[in-house]
Amino acid sequence: MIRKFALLITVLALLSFGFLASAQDMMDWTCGMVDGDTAGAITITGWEGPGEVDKFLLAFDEFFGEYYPNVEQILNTGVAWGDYWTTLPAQLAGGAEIDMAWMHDTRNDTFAANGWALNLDSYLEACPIPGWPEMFVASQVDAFNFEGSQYAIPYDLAPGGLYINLDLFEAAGLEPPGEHTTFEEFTELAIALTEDTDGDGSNDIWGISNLASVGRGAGGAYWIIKSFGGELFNETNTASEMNSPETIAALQWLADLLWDSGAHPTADSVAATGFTTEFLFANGNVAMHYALNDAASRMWELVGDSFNWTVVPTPTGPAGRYNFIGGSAFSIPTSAAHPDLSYELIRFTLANPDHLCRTAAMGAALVSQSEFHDCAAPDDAPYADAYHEVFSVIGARDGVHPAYHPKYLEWETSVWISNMDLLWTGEERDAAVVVQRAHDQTNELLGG
Amino acid sequence: MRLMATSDKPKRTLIGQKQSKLLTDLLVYVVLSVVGVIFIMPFAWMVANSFKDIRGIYTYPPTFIPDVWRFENYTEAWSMTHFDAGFLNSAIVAAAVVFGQLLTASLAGYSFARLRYPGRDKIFLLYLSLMMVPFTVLLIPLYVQMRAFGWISTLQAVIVPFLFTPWGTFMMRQFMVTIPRELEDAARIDGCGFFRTYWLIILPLTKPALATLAIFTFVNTWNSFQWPLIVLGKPKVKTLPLLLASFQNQSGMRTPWHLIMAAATFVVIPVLIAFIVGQKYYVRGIVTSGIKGGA
Amino acid sequence: MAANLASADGQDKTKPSGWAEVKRAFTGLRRGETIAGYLFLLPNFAGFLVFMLFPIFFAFYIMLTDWSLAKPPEFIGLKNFETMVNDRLFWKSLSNSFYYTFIAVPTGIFIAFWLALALNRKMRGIIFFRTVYFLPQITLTVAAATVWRWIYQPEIGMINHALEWFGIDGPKWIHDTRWAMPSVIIMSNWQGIGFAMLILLAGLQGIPEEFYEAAAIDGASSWQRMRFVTLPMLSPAIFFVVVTSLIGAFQAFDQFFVLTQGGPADATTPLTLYIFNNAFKFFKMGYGAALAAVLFVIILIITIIQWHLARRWVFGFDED
Repeated sequence: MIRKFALLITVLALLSFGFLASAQDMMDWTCGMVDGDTAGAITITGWEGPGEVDKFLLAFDEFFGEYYPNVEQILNTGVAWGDYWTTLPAQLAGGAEIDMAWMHDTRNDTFAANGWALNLDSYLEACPIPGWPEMFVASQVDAFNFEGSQYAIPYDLAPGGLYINLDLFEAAGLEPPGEHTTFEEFTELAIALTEDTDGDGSNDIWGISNLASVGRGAGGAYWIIKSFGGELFNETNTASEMNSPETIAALQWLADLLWDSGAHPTADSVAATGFTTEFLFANGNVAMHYALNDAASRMWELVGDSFNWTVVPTPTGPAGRYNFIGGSAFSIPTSAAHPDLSYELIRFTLANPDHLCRTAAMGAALVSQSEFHDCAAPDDAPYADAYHEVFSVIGARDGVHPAYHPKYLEWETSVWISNMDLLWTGEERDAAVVVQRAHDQTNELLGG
Repeated sequence: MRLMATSDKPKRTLIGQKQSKLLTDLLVYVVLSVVGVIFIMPFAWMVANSFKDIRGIYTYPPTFIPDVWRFENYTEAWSMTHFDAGFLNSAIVAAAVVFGQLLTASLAGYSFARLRYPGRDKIFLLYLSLMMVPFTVLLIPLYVQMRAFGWISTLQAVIVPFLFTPWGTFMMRQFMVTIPRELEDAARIDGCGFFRTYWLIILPLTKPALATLAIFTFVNTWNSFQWPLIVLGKPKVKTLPLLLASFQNQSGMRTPWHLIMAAATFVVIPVLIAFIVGQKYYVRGIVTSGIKGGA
Repeated sequence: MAANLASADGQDKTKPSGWAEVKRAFTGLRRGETIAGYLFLLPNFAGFLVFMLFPIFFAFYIMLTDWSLAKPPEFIGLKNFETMVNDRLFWKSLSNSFYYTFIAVPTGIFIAFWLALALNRKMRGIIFFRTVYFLPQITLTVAAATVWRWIYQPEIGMINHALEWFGIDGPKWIHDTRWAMPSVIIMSNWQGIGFAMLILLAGLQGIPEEFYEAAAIDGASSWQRMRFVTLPMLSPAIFFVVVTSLIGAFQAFDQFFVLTQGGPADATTPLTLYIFNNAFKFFKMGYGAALAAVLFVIILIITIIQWHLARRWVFGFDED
């Protein structure tokens, strides 16, 4: 409330100070690369829809309202994820002039290698973003760096954590896991919490959910593989390292949760409704649910007062502690008609401290971690402190993701999913068998 | 044409026929109703969900009847985006494409079915082969072409390339070949030219087929998604499916499914109306009495 | 017969016999009919030339290139087709396409035919039933897919629940590589049957009542009426449904995309989905276009075979 009021006062003050004041402000929050009288249209496209994109749109409106009143925004947000990655390439290949585009870490190298995303190094030098790069989470800066150059500026980070149904733990007389819980202890917990309450022979309360599912990419398993000491590719991403005993052990551990102990619901158990995998947790059928930080605000809506819940870090493996981290960014396509203006807009949106907190809501925004953790979860959310600890501190610190090399998407679809699916459907229960096949196919793909 | 075979089976009495019709009708009703449940279920479920709150949608195991009835989903969904403009855009596009296809397909269909000229069947096969090229590989070149025309973010881009239909032409041809030639010959003797024959004789006799093509085209155009998504960038030209899709968020997070279901329900109403209106044209050929001699 | 005539599209004009034929057509008694024939085609044909010719030629060119979409296509001759020979996923998706098509199309048409006959009856409320069977066409795809996932759910899903009554332990449907394809086939027939039904219904409506009256006077049994009136008169519509369903089945995409995304383990990845993945996910547009060319040739061959078979059973096929 106070922040909103302060913002209002700022805007009013700016208006009353008039031309001089805004000219002064312009020096602060643009680099003056583009003349203020510039007229025209700027085309922006992204996958995020209502609720998630609004905070960015507010920043865009402020930017153009204050500095470039003659520029019209053509917004194409809310393009569903799958459609976005068809539409954007088709438009770019067709020569469309798109000035700014949402970018994902999984796609960055492919877009950069293909010459679609603009190399931002010269911009970062000529018109530095305050706090770049030291205040940004290193793993996210790195995720959008291809062969030593920056191709997008990250706007969020998405670490994985465990959502805990405290009531189920209390009923079982168990303590929720923590940062130093080992995988063995974690497995025991998951098994102990699994129950067949109505005695019909199939479980209806599960210890852990959402670690694996049919059709899922490699990101969800990579942190487990790392925790066990395994890898997917070699340093240069030219060969597979999947057939190590550690990688196999990690995947076997996952498969056993599904098919041996039954502590994890199988793919078909979660398929009852196609909307989301989180409804099992929200309905109180799951003690521990693996999800990224952005699930928190929705869990809050969904669970309501039904039970007490919190978030905790994922466990520590024999090779150390890792968790998945993903993220998105703003990029400028090489076909942009107004790349300078786009860069100014990105800089303003991600680094202006006046609205940083608003932009950080729901866990976005990277500049100054100390700033954003205060805003990432709503002040009045009961999980706010835990959220900060699990995602902003531990999650950002231990975050890993697979190497998203230019052949990654093809590899993920035609090698990883193609083989791992058999583990998640239960048609193959020996991880070594699918891993060996995937290993050979990976070498064929990366070598050829 | 072999039309009739003689039969030495005795004719059934009128009463017997009536009874058997009643019995068959009853059987048909039962089968249609039982199978119909499967066909109506997902639609009914969509409508049921449009009255739930968001938590009702996530209930496990899923339920059909809402616990809490939320009629305001409809007003909320309506005000969430520019549905009034979307309806107008979709209506313009659907109407233009339907009428354009009916015209071009019936003209070409008549030519392929009835007129004799060199190369006819080869041209027809060439035409048909157009349907066989996967659209995935045409997307980009077509987009390049639309840019060259300056049609990006205009309704022309989703109307004009789709006024020509091999599918509809094929369908028209197939229905026109069954029209007895005698009718046409009579018209020609009466001095009708080819166009008047097409307009006065052929078209009225093809009404059920025209209605089918109209329904088919209307539904496809109304639901068309991928191509409009790529060419219609500006919000003011967006069609309904694009607006509907923009409710969804990445990986389904925070997606207001109850509002999407409400929007999907009101978006579908015009199609439903079009279908029911189209049924009016599913009547037996009007001029059939003229062909007795020919049969 | 028309098929023996030279095509008038320019390529065969040098052939003396064809050219003579064309010349005769434009000068002889049928001059008016020839001109009218071409004129009637004109609106459609002109549109095709303007909007399809460039994209199709473009697609045929890029199948001979290595094109990552961003950089200009690089000509590599037939290399894409060589790659295909050892591409495990190409063969897998090709066999999936055949599996899907040759099960989904016959079953779909069989059901649509009987449905059309039932819905052709003069009964009260028949429009209601026609609408019901058409509803899947207009149900929001994501809603339909969601309900079907629920129907297929092994434990609480409807199908296995029903099977349980008969003591059958149902399969895991979309979560089993062997049952995933039948699951997609069932859903896509459920969704697509409305149109096939509608077309056959329109065909049935087009059969003049007099034919049935004449048959009744001759004392034809209902089977004979079906065999000698309904089937021959409906054959053009059936032919249309068969040809377009086969083309449509080889091009089916959405039902796979929404229900299974091609999984599990590629069990439901048809060639179309593989083309799409190559073009827009792997950025191998040249290879995608080459795959599309293979799909095109397969459909073309199947259609031409049907075309020749049609002369034996389709009414109005070789009347010239």
